[in-house]
Amino acid sequence: MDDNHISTMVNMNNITFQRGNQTILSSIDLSVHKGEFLGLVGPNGSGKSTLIKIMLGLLQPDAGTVSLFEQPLTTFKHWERIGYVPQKAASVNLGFPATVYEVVSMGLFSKVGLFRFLNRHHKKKIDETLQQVGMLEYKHRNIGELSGGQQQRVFIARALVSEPDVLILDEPTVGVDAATVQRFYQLLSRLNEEENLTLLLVTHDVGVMTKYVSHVACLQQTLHFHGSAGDFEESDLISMYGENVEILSHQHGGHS
Amino acid sequence: MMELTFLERGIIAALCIGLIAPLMGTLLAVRRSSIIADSLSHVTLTGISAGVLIGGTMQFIPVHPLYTGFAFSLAGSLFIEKLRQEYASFQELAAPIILSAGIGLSAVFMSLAPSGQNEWYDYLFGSVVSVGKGDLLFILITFIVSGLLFGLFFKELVFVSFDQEGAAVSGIKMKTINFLFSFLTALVISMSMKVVGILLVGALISLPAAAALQLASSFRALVLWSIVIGEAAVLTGVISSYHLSLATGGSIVVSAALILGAVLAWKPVSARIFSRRNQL
Repeated sequence: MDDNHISTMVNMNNITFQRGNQTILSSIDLSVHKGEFLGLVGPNGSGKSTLIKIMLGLLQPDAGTVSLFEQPLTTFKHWERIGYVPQKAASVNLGFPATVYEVVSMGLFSKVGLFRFLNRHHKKKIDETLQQVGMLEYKHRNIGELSGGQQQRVFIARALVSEPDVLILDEPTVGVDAATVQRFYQLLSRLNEEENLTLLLVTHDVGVMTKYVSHVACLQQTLHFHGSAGDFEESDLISMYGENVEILSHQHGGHS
Repeated sequence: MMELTFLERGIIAALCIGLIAPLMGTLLAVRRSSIIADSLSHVTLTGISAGVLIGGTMQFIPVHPLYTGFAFSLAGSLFIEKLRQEYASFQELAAPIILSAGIGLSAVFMSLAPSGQNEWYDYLFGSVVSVGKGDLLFILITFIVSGLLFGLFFKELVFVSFDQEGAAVSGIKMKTINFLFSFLTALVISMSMKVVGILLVGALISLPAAAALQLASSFRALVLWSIVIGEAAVLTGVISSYHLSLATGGSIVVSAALILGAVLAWKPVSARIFSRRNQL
């Protein structure tokens, strides 16, 4: 199927989500275009992760529609085109005795098929991807023994190994020290520029992010801003985070 | 198969169980749901009691208690899976409810049954000498079915156990895999009934995985160690129970517990040896 001309990777239309009688998301329109590096920001509890889960079909919205690669989510089948790095603490069991190699190989399972094992081509692909994120030397280490930043690179490798067109990351820098966060964003912008990978990054930490992304969307129940990173101004943040925003936008320091 | 002695039948059955039960145990351990095996084994007992009751009162219906046991076990595991999904905070509560309801119901069935109380005792603690031809056939069928399912879907089962969301987004059909988890758990428990018994099947599922977790640094190694430890435990258990006339399930589980104890004792010793070696 040749659909390289498709430029809208993700399109969310009029999404509303309620938990009990509390409105988490209200009438959200959001789209991600080919080649963008979109930073989706908002304070804790603003509905960012919920929006991502709706985008990926993990949660059902109360209203609105989602399409991925211009196909409705309900009939979408090409999941190998989407790389997803879940919020680690919430989803992944890190006590699991798996090596870095084993974790990354999971990213290929949907391609490998039933009763089949990884062949030489797959193994080479895993090595290349680990090299790409700078984790090849840790290939046989246990995932639980690595630092938060290293684990995050492994999860990115797992998402990249199936050669997706878009990479979606949910709060990837939580629990990672400031210097590592900097290197992490450099890795992402290299993937965006050199590999032409479309990126959607969800974070509550606006500080460093704005230097690297091409587009920004601010979420706090509704979308407060959605446009290119150049047009994004501090006033947009103040309307969302309140007056304490300076702490977030300038000195990013080491947040825990 | 017809010429086998009861001990040979018992050993074949035990080898099948020693492979599949610890394999299931590794997945249940990393899913943090080892307790489910214990609850389900009690529901399986309810099914077995129902089978014994039907067999005793309505002899025109040809039922083998292991098959009714499996049916109840499957229903119970689907019910638990449903609770796991719909009430995340209910998970701990589901297990004891199912466990006590299962054992209560099976006691009622057994008191209604005109005969079969001795048979019931065999199902509680397992007895290698009670493995008849029909039982061995059931064990072999369930062994082949579960072996095939593990072979077909092992990658998916592992991925789902490690990271539910990641697996869902990679295109794995979560409903299918979750059903498969329930189906396999039910299958493994009902196939172990005759040899290990209801009260001890949970131990055969979780003890080898617990010992293997101490030894393994990769998932591959975890699976291999669990199977090796499981087979070692069932073989020592079956042979010692035969020669010393002990309850088979008891000897198997005591062997598994001794292996776990040895592994736990060895760990600090080996750590000291290796750290000394690194200092040199």
